[in-house]
Amino acid sequence: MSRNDASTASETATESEASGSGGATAEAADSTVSADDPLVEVRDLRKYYDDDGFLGDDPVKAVDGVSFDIRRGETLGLVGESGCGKTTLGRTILGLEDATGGEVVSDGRDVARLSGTQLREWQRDAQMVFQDPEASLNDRMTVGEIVREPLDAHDWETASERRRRVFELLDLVGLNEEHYYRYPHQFSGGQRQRVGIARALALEPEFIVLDEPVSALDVSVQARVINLLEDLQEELGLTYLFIAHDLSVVRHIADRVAVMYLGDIVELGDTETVYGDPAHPYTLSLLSAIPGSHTGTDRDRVTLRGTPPSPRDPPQGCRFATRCPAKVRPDEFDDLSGTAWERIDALHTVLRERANTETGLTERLKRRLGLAADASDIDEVVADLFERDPDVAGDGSARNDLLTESARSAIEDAVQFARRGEDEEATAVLRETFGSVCNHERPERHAVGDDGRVSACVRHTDEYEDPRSVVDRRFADD
Amino acid sequence: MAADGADANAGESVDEAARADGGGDALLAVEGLTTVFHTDKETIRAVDDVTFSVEEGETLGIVGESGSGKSVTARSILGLIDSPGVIESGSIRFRGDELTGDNWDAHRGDISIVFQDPSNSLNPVYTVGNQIRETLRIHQGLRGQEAREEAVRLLESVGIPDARRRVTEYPHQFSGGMRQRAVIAVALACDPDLLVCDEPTTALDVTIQAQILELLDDLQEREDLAIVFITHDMGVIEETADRVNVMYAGEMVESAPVGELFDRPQHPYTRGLLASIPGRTVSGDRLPTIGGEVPTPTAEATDCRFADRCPEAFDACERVHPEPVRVGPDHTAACLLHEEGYDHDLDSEARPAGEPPDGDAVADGGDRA
Repeated sequence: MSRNDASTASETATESEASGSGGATAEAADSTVSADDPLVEVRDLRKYYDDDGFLGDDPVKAVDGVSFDIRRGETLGLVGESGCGKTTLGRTILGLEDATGGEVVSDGRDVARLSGTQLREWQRDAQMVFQDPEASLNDRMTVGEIVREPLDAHDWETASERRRRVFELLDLVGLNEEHYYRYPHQFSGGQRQRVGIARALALEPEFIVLDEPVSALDVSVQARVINLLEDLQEELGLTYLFIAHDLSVVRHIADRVAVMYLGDIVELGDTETVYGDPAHPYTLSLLSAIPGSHTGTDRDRVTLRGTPPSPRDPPQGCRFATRCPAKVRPDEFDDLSGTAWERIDALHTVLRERANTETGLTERLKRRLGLAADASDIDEVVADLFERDPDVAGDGSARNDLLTESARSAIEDAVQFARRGEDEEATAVLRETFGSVCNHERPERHAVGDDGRVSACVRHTDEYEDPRSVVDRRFADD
Repeated sequence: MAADGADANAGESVDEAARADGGGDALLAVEGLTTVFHTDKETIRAVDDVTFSVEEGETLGIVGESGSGKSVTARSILGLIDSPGVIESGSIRFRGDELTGDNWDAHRGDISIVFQDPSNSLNPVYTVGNQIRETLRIHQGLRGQEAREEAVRLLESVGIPDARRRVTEYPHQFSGGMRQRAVIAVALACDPDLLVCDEPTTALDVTIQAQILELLDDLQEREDLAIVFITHDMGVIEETADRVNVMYAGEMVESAPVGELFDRPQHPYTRGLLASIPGRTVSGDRLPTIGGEVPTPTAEATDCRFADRCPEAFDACERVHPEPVRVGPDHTAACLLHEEGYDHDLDSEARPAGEPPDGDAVADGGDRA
């Protein structure tokens, strides 16, 4: 059953690819990169939170130099792991957060810098629907008051007109007149989300940011809300920025999808092309993690190790380098096996985590006094990784061939630092020795295919093998 | 904490009769389990006459929407039902020993549970190692150096690198995925035979979810664990379970091996549930939906609880409560469509053709207060 679905899906994918390339030639004639009319243009947008800690900590770079367009009438999906900055990006575009840098342009206005009347205007044109319908509706107001609130705030028409408008809105989202006098707690989750949507529609916006609008709902209710959103878009000509961590929902609803990792968009393209043939190594791993057989990809799972690094201290170079399954490896270590690299990466992760641990005062004091027992534990970690083979029980010598001479000495250097508790330096040694272009350069966006897709990975240049085949090869190794 | 804190009294209070029965080969046999919650207004039958069993080394998936009684089933198995809830009737047997009637102590430590939210399952003021050692002391009597070594080994076994150092850290120093690994380590510290996982990956990102599912798979193979895996996510069920039970309004409406259930769902609810998952339909199409909502069962069922949402319901569905019937090898469904003697074909054609059973948006907006 699901296999049939998958093949149908891929057929549709090829179809849309074909029409996409046709569109590309038409666009070429127009001599613009994107003939589509952008509603919102985001340029190098940044949002840093610095909490003014007395230790002078680095700011949290929630959104760090993001650029993309939202086209009029489309649904742009925005996906990524929690903490990658999806929500902050959505809020900053709407002006709910002050941008640290960059601009958001709509109809010639930089909406990130608006104030006064112009800001009010933008706030009418752009609305937001929040994730948690429990938390985003005021329990002391009736549904009618909640939906009317934006109309009141913007002094919309007369009081009786507002009232009429509210009834109209309730009807639009599939609620009815009697719900006007009810309180949110009398509603189910799906109905509450409908109230949230009605409120967002009150001022006839063009653009709505939907922040995980169906994540808190059961699957059967979720399906109805998704259908409602699609109907409304068609009826009212809305433009959506649809933020979600559920990749299947995004595949269903979005025309294009942007994949975000640690404050930046790493891949952006037509939904079916991205899902059918992901270009960026992160997209590839993320999509392969969707459980179940209905994903339409028959590929092996690429399980990412660890969690995304802290946005306070993102890795230099490519942000994804610390977890990337297709990271460029230096030529001089060409002869190291897949297992060896895996172990080296594991050691690197351990050291990095040690370096980043926020240690309490007592812990620091203990370390000063040499009372901390953990500085020498690194030997055990190294032994586990490189000397003992967990697959060959009790045989200590089985792993001597794992590392080459130069690799071994570099690791020895790093361990020297780690023994003295100098984890930063230890990490630096590993990064210097085993690092590559991925650790030094922030990758540029490259066009992939001919339908306007972009992906930020050095492997899209001719110099390197493409991510897909590298991942396939490396995962076939093990 | 993941493992329940009560002291492990040696189990002498085992029900003799239950032992005599033997209870078949199943590791866990649940029969006619009914768990109710008494409130001022009404009695809610959260789990209503549910029967299933779990074999050694098997993963049983329980799937359903919120309010279907999945979690109450899990808590009932562990004996974690507190007032106003009570197990009204039915039996829960572990290795043939009856657990209901307050005999859980007999098998304390043989059954462990992992909850949804790892942040709430760990005590923030104790180190992770401390919490693992507590369980080790209670359930395995390990103390001192021995317990410390075992705690490190457990953390390593759930895939936490640098375990010797991590064991001295507090839960807030762990990431979400790491925390769930630590919770699993605590659950494993009592050396269970059965691990009940109640939505263990729902609070996690899909990449971390993949790691945890992989870990559970490994552990099952290594330690020969039986797992009861509760989730609302059909994709996760498809990947983890050997058998699947579908719950609806407190009842088990369908049960089948995982492949069979996904290829040939026999209950209209299961079919609706599978169809409404985005990604299974070609994108651009409207998602098929089920109208209405899961009802809260307050009285013993005299009809089919799904009838008023069911696209295939007919007259008799309002009058007769369907019992589970065999619809294939090792496959049961509780639906009158599969029972002889009901003239349902005529009735279902009598429905106005082409009318969707739910009316979509309006159904959700209906009067429920």
